[in-house]
Formats: sequence, structure tokens, C-alpha cells
Amino acid sequence: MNTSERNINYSYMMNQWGNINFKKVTNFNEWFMGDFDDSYYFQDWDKILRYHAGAGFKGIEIMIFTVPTMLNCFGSMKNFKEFANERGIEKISGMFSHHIGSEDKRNHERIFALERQAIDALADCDGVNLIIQPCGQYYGTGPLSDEQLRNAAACMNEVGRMAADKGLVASIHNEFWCAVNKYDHNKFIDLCDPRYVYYCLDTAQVSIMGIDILEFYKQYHERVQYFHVKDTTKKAATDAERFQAGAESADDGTRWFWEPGGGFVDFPGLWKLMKQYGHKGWVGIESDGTPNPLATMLLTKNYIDTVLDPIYC
Amino acid sequence: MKTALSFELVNMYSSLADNMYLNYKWYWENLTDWTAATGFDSISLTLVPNQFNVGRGGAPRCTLAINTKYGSAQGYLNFLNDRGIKNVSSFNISAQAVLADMFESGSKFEDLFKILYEHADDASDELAGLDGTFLNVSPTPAIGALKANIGDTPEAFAAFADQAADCINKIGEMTAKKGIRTCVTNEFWTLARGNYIDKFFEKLNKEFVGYTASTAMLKIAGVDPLEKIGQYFDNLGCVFLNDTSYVDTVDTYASTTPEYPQTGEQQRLYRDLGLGSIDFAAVYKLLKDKNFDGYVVLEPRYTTNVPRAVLRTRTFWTKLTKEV
Repeated sequence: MNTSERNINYSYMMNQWGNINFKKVTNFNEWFMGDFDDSYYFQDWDKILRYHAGAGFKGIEIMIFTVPTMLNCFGSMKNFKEFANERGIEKISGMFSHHIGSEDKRNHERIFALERQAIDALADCDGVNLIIQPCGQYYGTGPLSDEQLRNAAACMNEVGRMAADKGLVASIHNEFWCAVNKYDHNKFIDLCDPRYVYYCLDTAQVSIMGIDILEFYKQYHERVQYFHVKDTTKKAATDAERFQAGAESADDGTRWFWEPGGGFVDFPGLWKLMKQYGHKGWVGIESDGTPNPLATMLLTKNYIDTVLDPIYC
Repeated sequence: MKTALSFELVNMYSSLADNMYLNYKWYWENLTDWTAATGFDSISLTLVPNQFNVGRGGAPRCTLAINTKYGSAQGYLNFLNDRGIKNVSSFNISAQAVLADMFESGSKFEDLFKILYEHADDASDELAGLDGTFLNVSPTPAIGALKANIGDTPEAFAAFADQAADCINKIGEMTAKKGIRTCVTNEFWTLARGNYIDKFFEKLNKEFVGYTASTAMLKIAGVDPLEKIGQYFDNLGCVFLNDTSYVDTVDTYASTTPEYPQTGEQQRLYRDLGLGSIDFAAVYKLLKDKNFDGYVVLEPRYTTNVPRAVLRTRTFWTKLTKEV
């Protein structure tokens, strides 16, 4: 079944690869001889994109902080898109961005300037979704006052309008460690303008926050137009765990996120709801924290083929 | 002659297998243990300006991260001492890192030297608390990045180099008051690259600013490291030993990705120590004969395997000091 025949297609977030510095590495021996390791295989867009297409993922998603490197490598995001297309990647479905400091109006112009760059870059490669972390981390920022929450929502609304002007869709993406957290999560969504601001449901982040994602999806399915699919073994982390400094990169190395099927998230239940609500479009996969991106990618594809596709595809 | 291991053996901006761990505190604490286990008792760190993504992690990569995770410079020093590391001998900061941060911070290019000065002020405060000695400062962004901001004319580059030298002099005077010696570096992609350091160094106040040499950076710029280290011996702060076999036949130095050549038969700049073509025996002999009392910083820059490189570096240093 090709992508046009499916209701949902899968896009893989590239952050599991960190920073990809080369367009194409060509000399195997230069990297192999003397070191005898596999570094030749994991440093360039050429091969990494082909791994994704080879595993059956036809879309990718990118991080905003990689845009300067990509522009340096390819000259333009349009060139990058063409390079990816030639290797079997049909869609750059989205870009992840952030609104650090949005609770303070004085930071909004800086954030708008950043987002103008993000929107231009995403539009240039025919992307769709601008996925936005609404604030910085809870540590040092939260809890937010009502005024701070309104400021963060106003920032999101303005960026949503900017994205819409370019034909893009802006979505809230909430992290379990974000200043907008469990206690004001729904309030924040309700403060955002539904005409311009949608929601990207990150199945693990929201679960770790202590929210039942099936109930959440039932309530907000009209706002949820994108997903970040990942699993977790940690259900409802405590406030102390979520609000600690740098909570996502646990000091002791605790892994928060797993391949779908590797934790407790009820993906079959979610897919049944997606079918019920007739969700259509790209669904993002994230593998933050994996020590082996290739293994995780193949496990994920097998889970899609054997568990999710039979429910809804 | 004192030695330190450079933690810039880790490429923070890499796609290799361990990239996901680089923001974790445990990763750097393991590296600290390996460093002590291989007999090194001092480290050199590269810092970037404080920013959100680095600041929330556990890498000792900015003062915000260090102070958040360890409470203060003293807290981090206590940790290092407990693991067998005496001090952080030097910090390395760069105008290129300041420029790179501007994409997300929203800062303006015209404020680059103001931000670099503030970055140096913050870093030198922290370094003083870590029993450090040298603040190594790379004075200009990469030439490829500069072209996009100031144009591509000799006049523009000369005027910019003057501003950079003025900033370095101010940094040197400021850090001296804290007992920290500022040294200028000359990566092969900056306006002070290779022999251009000579003209640049003339503009600097030698009372407050010294020179830190880097063998691979000099070699890639087409300069004999031995010659340059000898020339600046009286001003030397640190000597970074890093290795390369790269020959810049495609003007990589002026590209937008100087450390990642996109064209040419060679694309790998750095090798673990002893696997490239630098004549380290000659460099070591010179330093030994002249009783160099600064830091020799061993740097298997951007290695493709960190624990292996730590072991290799000890082997390299043992052999070198035995043979010479």
C-alpha cells in the first residue's frame, strides 16, 4: 500500500541521530582503517535517510536546532527536501521548536524571530507541522501564574497565526518536565486559539505527566492533528521527578522512552480511537534515549506492521 | 610540564552511536572516572554560552549546567577531586560558539563581541573556582560564517580582526584580575588561522594575553606546528596535542562547515593521537628541552570511540615520553 492509499503514514523524528554533519561520506577506508569501527555508516544524511526509507518510513521530522547545519550542508531546505526525496523519503512532515521564556512577554519578540526562521525553513521543504514546546523546563520556571500562562498562550497564538499564513499547522507539544505541566495542561490548551493552535499528542510525555492519553484524546481529538509515538515504562512520575533540573536527561541514566510495545502505553486502544475519529495524516515516531537507533527503528516498524496496521492504517 | 586530557574528545554535535547520552551527567562522570583510571589528573573543558538545551543537561558544557548539577564551581571541583582529578586546567571558548548560539538565542551579530566578553567573564569566574589557569579564546567565527555576515573582502576581514583583537585584549585584562591567563587560539578556520596569527598577535597586549597552540589546527592550516610553537614559546599557555592527516586541497577552511568537509577525497579531519601524521616526538622534545611549564593538553579531538580514545591517549603519551 503506498502512502496515498493509507489514512495514516509514519514519519520518524531524526533527533535520535543527534547532529548529522555530512551530506555524504564516501571514503570507507578513511574512517575504518586504524579504528576498525562502524563510524562510516552513521555520519551522513545520505545513508541515514536511506536507512529510514529502507525500513519503510516515508516521512521524517526534524529539530529546529539542526536547521543551521542543514543549511550549511545543503544550501537550502528545498535542496535538502530534494535530496531526501531522491532517497525515498516522500515527506518532511514537521519540525520541532520551542518557546523558552514565553511566560514573559518581554521574550516574545525573540521567540517570534526564532519561529520566523523555523516557519521559513519548514515551508521551504514543503513541511506541514510546526510542533512547539510551549515553555522552558519546570525547574526554575514553574509553577506558572495565570498571567504567565496567558502570556505563553498568547505567544503560541501569534506563532500559530504566523504558521497559518505560510500554510503550516502549529501544535502544542507538552513535555512531562515542561513549565506547563499536569496541573495547567488542559487550561493552557483551552487558552490557545483553536483556529491557529492544534495539539501534538506525545504518548509517552503525556503519560509520564500522569494523564490518561485515551481519555485525553477523547476530550481533545478535534485539536489533536499530530502524534509523537513513543512508549514508556514510567506511568505518572511524581512531581519531584518531573520538576527536577534537567529531568529528561536523568542524572543516573534512567531511560524514559521506549519503542512502542516496550512499555505500558495502550497503543491498540489509541489506534481504535483514531479509527473511530477517522484521523488522517502523518504520525510521528520518536526514539529519544535509544542506545541503538537502527534496532529501535526496526522494532518500531515491526510493531506497526503486526499490531497497529491491523487496527487502522 | 603538566598534562591534562581534553574533554573535547567528545563531539557534542555528532550522530554517532552515543550521541543520545551526551547530555547526561552519568556519561561525563563515567568519562571522568576513565580519565583518572588512565592516570590523568587534570582536564580541559570547552564551554558554550549558557542556553536552554545545554543548560538543562548534565554535560559540563556551560556554567549553567555545572552550577545546576553540582551547586557551584566548588561543588564540581569537589566531585572531580573525589574522583581523582585535581583541577580543570583550562576552558576553551570561541566566537564561533557565540555566533552559532545566535540562531536560537535571537542575539544580533553586532553584539557578538559584547556577548563573547560576557561569556569570558562568566567562564573565568567559574574557572577560578576550579583551580584553573588558562582561558583559551578562539577570536573570530569561522571564515565561512563570517562571509555571510560581513562580506568577503580583505578590508572587512581586517576591520573585523581589529575588533576581535580589541575584545581579546579586554578579556585578557579582565581575567588577569581573577588570576586567569587569557590565551588566544588559532583554529584553521578563523581569521587568525595558520600564519595569520602573527599579524593578529601583534595587536595583542602580551602582558595580558598569551598563545595556546594546537598541533592539528596548525598543520591543517599549512603551518609546521613545531615552528609556530618555537616562535611563540615565551607566550605559550597550553599546547594542545591533536592529530590529523588532513590536507586542505579544497579550501575547507573557508567553507560553512570547516570541520566537516563536504567535498574532496578526504573528509576526516582528526585522528586519535598517533594515528595521524603530526611529528609529536619533535614537538615534545622542544617542550622538554625548553622546560615548558604550561599545560600539554592531550586531545583525541572528536574521536569516534570515547573510551577507546582515552586508553589510546594514555598509551600514546607513555610511548612518547619514553621514546624522547
